[in-house]
Amino acid sequence: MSDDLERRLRDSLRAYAELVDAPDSTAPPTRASAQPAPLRRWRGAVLAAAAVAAVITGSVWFVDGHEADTAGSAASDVSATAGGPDNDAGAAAEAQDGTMAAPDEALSVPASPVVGVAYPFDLYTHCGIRGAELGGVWFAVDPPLVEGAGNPPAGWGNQYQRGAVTLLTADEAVFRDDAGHEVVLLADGSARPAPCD
Amino acid sequence: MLVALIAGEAGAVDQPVVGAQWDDALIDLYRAQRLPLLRLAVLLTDDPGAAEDVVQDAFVALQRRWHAVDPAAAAGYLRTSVVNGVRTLYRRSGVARRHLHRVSPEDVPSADLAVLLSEEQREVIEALRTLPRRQREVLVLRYWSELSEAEIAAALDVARGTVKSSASRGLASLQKKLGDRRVR
Repeated sequence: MSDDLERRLRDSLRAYAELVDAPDSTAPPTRASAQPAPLRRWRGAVLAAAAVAAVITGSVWFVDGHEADTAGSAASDVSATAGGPDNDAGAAAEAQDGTMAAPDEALSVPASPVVGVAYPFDLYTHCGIRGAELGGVWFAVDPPLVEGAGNPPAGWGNQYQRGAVTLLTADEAVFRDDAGHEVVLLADGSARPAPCD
Repeated sequence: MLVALIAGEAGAVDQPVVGAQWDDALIDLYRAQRLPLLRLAVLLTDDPGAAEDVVQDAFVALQRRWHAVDPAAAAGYLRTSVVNGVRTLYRRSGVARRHLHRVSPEDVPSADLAVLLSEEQREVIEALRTLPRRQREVLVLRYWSELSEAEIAAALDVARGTVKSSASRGLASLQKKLGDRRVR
C-alpha cells in the first residue's frame, strides 16, 4: 500500500481529531451507580415459575433456600464451559430455536461473570423482555420489549428464551439467540420489575 | 482482552462500590485521557454528543471497579471500553429501529465536524466512513492511535490476522475510493 495513502490517512485523522475541543469541565463524571438489588424478587419469580413447571411435568429438582447458593450452583454448570467468547456455540446450541417454556434449570451467569465471555443463558420473557440479573446486578432492557398486556413480542419464547449473554463492559451486556434476537442490557440502577402473573 | 488487564479476580464484574470516590490517580487519568478518548470516539462515530456519552460511561465503569484494575493498564481498559461502547451504540440503535420502527432524537445526526476540514482531508474522512465498521476501527487505531497490531487485536478482541486483513482491505478500499474520486 502506498506511503502516500497512509500519510494522507494519518494527516486527515489527525486534523479531524483536532476539531474536537477540550471539554470545558475537568471534573470527573458522576452517575448513580447501579445498586445491588436489595431484594431477589425477580429471581424468586423465575425459580417459582420453574418449580411450577417441574411439578406439572413431574420432574423433581431441588432448590436451595439460599438464593446466592442457588445462583452459584446454576452458574457453575455454565462457568465450566466459559473459557472464552467462542464457548457460546456449544452450550447455547442445545436449543436450536431458543424458545421454551420453563427449563428444568434456568441457565444463568456465574456470580462473577467475565467481560467478553458469552454465557449460555435463559432470558426470562414471561412479562416481556425487561432485563436480567447478571452477577447480582439488575441489567435492564431500555425500552422493555413488551407486547399487549405484558407478553414477550411475537417470535420470542415464553417463559424463557435460550441464548447467550455477554458482558461488553462492567455495566453493559448483550443477549443473542439463534433466532436472531439481540438485546442490549444496561446496569442503570433502575428498579427491578415486580413479578408478573 | 479486558480480562488480562484486571488485577485480582480476573475479569470479575464487581458489585458497584457504593460511595466510591475518585482518588487522585483516577482524576489524573481522567484529565489526561478524556480528550484523546473523546477524539477516538468521534473518529469512530462522527457524533460528538454520542462520543461524549461513550467516554463518560467508560470512566464511570472504570471508577466502579477502580480498586480491581491495574493502573498501568487503565488506559487500555478505557480504550477498549470506548470501542465497545461505540459498538453498543450502533447495536442499540439498530435494535431500537428493528423493534420500534420510529425515529428517536438520538437518530438525528449532529453537526458534521468534517465540513471544517480541507477538501483533501474531507475526502479521506468521507471515504473512511464508507468502510465496514471493523475496517474503520482498525484504521483509526492504527493510523490515529498509532497502536501496534497486537494492541489493536487486544482492543478489538480479535486475532492479529484479523487486524492485518482488515487493515489491508480497508486501505485497498480507501485507495480505490479516493482514486475514483480523483478520476471524476
